[in-house]
Amino acid sequence: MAAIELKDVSKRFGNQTVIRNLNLWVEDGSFTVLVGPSGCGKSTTLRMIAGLEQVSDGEIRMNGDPINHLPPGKRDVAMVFQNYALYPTMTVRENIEFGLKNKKVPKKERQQLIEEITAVVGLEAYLDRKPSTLSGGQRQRVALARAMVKKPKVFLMDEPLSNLDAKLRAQMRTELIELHKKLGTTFIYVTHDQVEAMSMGDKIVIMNEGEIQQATEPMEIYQQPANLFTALFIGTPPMNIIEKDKIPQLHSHNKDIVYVGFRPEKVVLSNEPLEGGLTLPAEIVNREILGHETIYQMEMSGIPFKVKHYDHPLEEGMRLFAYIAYKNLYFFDREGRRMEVEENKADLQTVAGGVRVCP
Amino acid sequence: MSLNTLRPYLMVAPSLIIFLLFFIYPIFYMIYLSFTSWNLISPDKTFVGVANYVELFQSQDFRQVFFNTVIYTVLTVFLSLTVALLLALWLNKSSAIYGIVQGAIFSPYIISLVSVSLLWMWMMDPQYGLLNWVLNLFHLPPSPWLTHTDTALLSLVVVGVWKIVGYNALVFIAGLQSIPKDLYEAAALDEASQWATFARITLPMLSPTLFFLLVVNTIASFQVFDTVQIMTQGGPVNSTNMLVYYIYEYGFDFFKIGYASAAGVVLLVIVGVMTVFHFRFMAKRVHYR
Repeated sequence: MAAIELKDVSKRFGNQTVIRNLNLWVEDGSFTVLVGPSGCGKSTTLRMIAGLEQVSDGEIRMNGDPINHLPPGKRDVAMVFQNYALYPTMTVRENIEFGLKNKKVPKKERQQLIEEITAVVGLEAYLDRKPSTLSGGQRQRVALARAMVKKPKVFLMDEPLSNLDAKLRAQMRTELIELHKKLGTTFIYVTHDQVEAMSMGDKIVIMNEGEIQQATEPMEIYQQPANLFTALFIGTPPMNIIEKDKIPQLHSHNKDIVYVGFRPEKVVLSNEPLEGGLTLPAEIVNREILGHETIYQMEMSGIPFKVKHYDHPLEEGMRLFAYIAYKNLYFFDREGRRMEVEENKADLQTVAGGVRVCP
Repeated sequence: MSLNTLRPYLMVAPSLIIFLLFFIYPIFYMIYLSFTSWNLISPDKTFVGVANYVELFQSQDFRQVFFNTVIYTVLTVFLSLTVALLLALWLNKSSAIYGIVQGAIFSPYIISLVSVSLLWMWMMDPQYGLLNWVLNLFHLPPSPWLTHTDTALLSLVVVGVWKIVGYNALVFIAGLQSIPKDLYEAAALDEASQWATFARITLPMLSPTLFFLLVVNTIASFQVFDTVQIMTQGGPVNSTNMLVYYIYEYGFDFFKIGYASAAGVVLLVIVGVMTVFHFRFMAKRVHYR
């Protein structure tokens, strides 16, 4: 078990900087998820922790001790690769055993460890098979077993579920969460899938262009996004962002507010304008019926936004009032940073359909 | 038969005729000739049964030629594969200088062996040759190279290895580059030593390449001719005479066509067996994913 700390870590490939002054604290025993669009540096960060990439600047520490100079094998970390990276010429047993053999673990102990681990991941019947004869899910388990058998202080996982089909992915997700609970070891998990991040992590680190946008618990990211990027990254469909000047119903003395955001699932649709929030007269342009929910594409005098509803589907072309309570509105400045304007709520005045709804 | 059913046969006829005329017919004609006594000129071909084969297998010369060929093949294949693998491991990097070196070691493969054989003869000259001059430079005893029965076959091996090693190295490099990088990363995380990484990952992953080269090189070496013809004519004292040159000698120097054909059939069988082995192996080639 170990805590990992990244201090002012930078990574350059040639003259291109992919990671700039990254500071990250990974709690001992946490399930930390690094998430972001491709090319955001999340995999590079993971590979630097593993020792597969050298840091250009800064320091990586494990339990307070710098580990920059250590080769990957000496860092006491195990990694699960995106395409598993199983040794194709070795059997499942040899795959799991390879790391132990290199560590000169005695044969008896090796056998015991392999039995123990294969029972956990349910691979007993496949020990003498080659990886090429296994299904994707089974290969995934071999990769996990190979990592687990070394009893590492930290598990590193680089998009381990992205090669599985949707059903198996959901199942492995649950299994990984249970595995984390059982082992209690630090997990650092890289994904580009926000659903995976939200459902698995107890801490989410959202990255973009080599910088951390926000690092906190899943619900806090959802409820308190730090900036436009995180607000748009988490949630399906993403948060609606509209320039403040395009909403005549919203008046504010705060000149710093440039963008206003609200989540599609927080919108209430009604036939009458409602009080105590922002009310936008709008028309349903399009709808996606998903069974338990419906996503509406709405338009208010040329400005599109999305609404998610769980009620019976409404007809296209209907003219309605979209109501968003004050507490569900988010405000961003010109740079996209979120602004806390809680105490200034009275400062906001809403005019709906020419009628002042709120003083 | 209507034109429509005939058409496909007409379409393939040209290539089929060429194939039968220039590939199949000569083989059967050679097998036929191996049962005759003929001097290439006279109109009569006397049928002699298996007499040519009996003479062949009783011949002390043929036995020596056969063993020469085997020794030459084993040495050439072993050395060229080992050296090529070492070169490939060293050259498996993407930088301009390594590209140039790769090209340089590949060039012998595309140069005519006949002209290069003359260069090697000059370099291997015991008195004025470059190689003995180099040996002398390091205070090593000079070698008689092609002029002595002990060293002549080895000298041909040197040329044979030099010729093929660049090709082998190139194929090995291609093989090395097809090994996924993440296997090496996984091995690094598994704390594998350099030797363990090579023995347990690189070499097994390279085995299809290795076996391909092994078979192709063996078949090619078994049919060595140019260097023998140009550099030694089988001498001194038959020490460098090998199968194909032996056949050529009997056919076109001694005009014993029947006897040469019998030797040709033996070569055909040996190479045929190796080819079958090759195809069998290719079918079983390790495939991952």
